[in-house]
Amino acid sequence: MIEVQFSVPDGSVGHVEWHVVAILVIDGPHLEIQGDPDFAEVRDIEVLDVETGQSVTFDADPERWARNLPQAFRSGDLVCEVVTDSSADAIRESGAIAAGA
Amino acid sequence: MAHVDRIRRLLDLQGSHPVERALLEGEVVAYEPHQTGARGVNSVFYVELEPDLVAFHKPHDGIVPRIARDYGHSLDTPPVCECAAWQLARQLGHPFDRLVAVTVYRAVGPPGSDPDSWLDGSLALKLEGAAMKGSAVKREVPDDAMAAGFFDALIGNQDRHPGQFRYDEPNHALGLLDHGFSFPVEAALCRGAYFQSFRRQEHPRLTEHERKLLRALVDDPELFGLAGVLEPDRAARLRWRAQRMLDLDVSCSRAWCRGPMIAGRVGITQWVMVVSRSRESVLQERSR
Repeated sequence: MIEVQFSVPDGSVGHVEWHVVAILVIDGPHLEIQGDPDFAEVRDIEVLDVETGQSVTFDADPERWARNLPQAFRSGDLVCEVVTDSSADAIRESGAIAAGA
Repeated sequence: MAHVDRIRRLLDLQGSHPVERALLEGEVVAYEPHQTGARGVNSVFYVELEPDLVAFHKPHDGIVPRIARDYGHSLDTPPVCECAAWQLARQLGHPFDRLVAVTVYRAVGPPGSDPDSWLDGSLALKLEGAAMKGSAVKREVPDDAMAAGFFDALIGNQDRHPGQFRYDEPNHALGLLDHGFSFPVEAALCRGAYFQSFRRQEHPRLTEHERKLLRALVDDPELFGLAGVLEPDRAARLRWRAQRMLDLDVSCSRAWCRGPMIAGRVGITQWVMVVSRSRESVLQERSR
């Protein structure tokens, strides 16, 4: 399961604060949108897999797509961030166990 | 011509527009990175300028080399291309200078720090409105969406997706942003073509105004000043796209930036599509 969060800045309070406008929860082939329902359009975005240089669509590989989604948002006024990645957490935990932590 | 000379030419183009001057001359009062430190994401800084401007700074140093390379760019080019897109929009005039975020090239850094330590990059004015409003844009301001399709085709925008524009619904204002990956070299990757697809579906033919603008651009040896700003192969492709659009009288598709072979085939397909659409509309009118 991967959770992707979208935030926008608000500088009206004297310093910049980031407000979450939408959260995507990707679990296998399922996509759930919390917050602004218009973020359903995000599903149409074709992203670059930074590791392989390949283009990835949601339909082709939802979780790989979600992991690479942040780099598709480069303008700065809408920040996309992977906040939960259960498979990456599992890999980290198994690595820690193997290392005897 | 070296990168430093192209920057010099870009600086010479800047400053005639009032918002450009405000971005160039405004005192920096806030400079903060966005909250994510995600690996593989280009660095962008939130900037507040006196008297009351918010903008986003993308320094050369913040570009992820792998991403730039995949789009056929280097660390030198995205901030320059982002500024060049605005300069082209400004010189094309209405409606493009209203649609594209005003962007300048300048060094910015934290207030109070030594300006000599500030980083060079593009500084784009924050646009009002929200992302992911493509359906509303196409429904409420279709003429602006089609103009955006023309502009993206001309600059060879390599990644216009629903998160790369803003729509201010109360004011019916579309805003185009993030043009760092544009002005592609031949055969470079083009991923998103949101408004070009819309334009192709709705009205691929150029308008008389668009033809006039393209003629002015191709007739200018300096490409409205961009010949000295863009790398030679990028400038040559800009001229090529403009001429191609004129020759076929269509606002071209994203595949055209991939190269003459593919472009030629797509061009013919586009032309056939235009003719078939025209025949369809004639037949429809006759049947009425």
